[in-house]
Amino acid sequence: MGTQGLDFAEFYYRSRDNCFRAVLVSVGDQDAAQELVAEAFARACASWRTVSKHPAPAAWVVRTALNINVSRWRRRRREVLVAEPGAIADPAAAGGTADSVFDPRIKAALMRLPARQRQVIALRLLLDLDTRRTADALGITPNTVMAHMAQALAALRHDLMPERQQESPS
Amino acid sequence: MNDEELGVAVKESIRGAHMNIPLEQIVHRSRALRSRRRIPALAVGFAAAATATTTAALVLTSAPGSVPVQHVTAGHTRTVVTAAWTVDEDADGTVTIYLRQYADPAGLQRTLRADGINAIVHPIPSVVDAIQPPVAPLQPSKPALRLRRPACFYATTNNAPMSVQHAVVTVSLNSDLPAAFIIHPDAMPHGSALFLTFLGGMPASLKNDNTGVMALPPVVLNNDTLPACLANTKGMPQTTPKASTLKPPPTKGT
Repeated sequence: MGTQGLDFAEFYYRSRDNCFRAVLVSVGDQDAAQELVAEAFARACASWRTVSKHPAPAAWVVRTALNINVSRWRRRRREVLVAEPGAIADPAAAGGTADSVFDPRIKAALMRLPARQRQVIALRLLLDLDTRRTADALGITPNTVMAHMAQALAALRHDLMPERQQESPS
Repeated sequence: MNDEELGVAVKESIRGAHMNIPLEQIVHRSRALRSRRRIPALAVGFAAAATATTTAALVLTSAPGSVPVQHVTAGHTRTVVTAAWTVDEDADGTVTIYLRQYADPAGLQRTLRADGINAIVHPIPSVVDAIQPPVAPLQPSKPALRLRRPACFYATTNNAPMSVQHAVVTVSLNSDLPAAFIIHPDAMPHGSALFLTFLGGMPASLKNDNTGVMALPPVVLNNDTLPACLANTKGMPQTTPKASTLKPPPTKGT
């Protein structure tokens, strides 16, 4: 049965924080993430009869938010040269007011990951989606999801380990 | 640090991040998107108001007394916000009613009328009917069913045709809390009225926060006269919620 028939309001209150955190990890900027997720939820509300039948409506919202981000980047690119939507040149400068709600060390480590690996981390860890649903949401194969996940975790582990442990042989 | 510990660390690192945008803003934006797509308005089952009301009823909690009112005027729109309800008049002429609590029905009526909607907001008590099912030959009689319904069948006395109902009222959220209705005043026939009622005396339950108060979807009346069957009904006191000793009613499948 899944979430069929679930009321939108209940869905919004239950899912909004997790969706916001997933998009925040993906885009790195709190204000941008709020706006993207709000627009995605509005689109979900406007199409609730369809979205409520989706096996993972929260994944639908996050995927929609990420697509909106890409669409806007493509529109801006036609006018001025901007960085790719998933690229963040200076992790310390990204996020603005997000620093107070996001552990800066872990945030910086996440922002150093390629965009796709961040998206896999966001959906697998923050939305608790399994490999198959993550693959469906991102339009990639489950094997690719597992590969991205393994690479992301390895990179994070390396980044977050204390320096003395990195120097010592394991 | 193993994968599980790493996953926990990532989750904990962002635990303080919250989505702060109110639901009303999301719904407001969704309406604009739907208008742009020209999707026909959806209608709720108004006939359910005359039957066991669990199908179309929307649950509110009661709140004591009146609450501070804010008026926000932005361009051609006006929004009146209280703790119990919000009335949002949009630039396209539609009016959205958000119901969160049963409180200040008179204020809600005044606000709707100020927005050009000839509104009647009136609470109604409920009564219990014992319906004896028919007994077939050679079959034992079954126990009587008890159904709770409004004290009078106002929905069958003075309703405008269904085409009018569909044109005037859109149920934006079909939920227990909060409830939201979009009203199209331009579609209301001359002399008609929007009747918005709260049903009291329902069994206190977890669904209605143990207050026994529920809201029914608005109904368009042919004229602006309170249905005669309601003339002698008393209003419901606005009381603070209290704990219930009753079991929650069985949920009805959809």
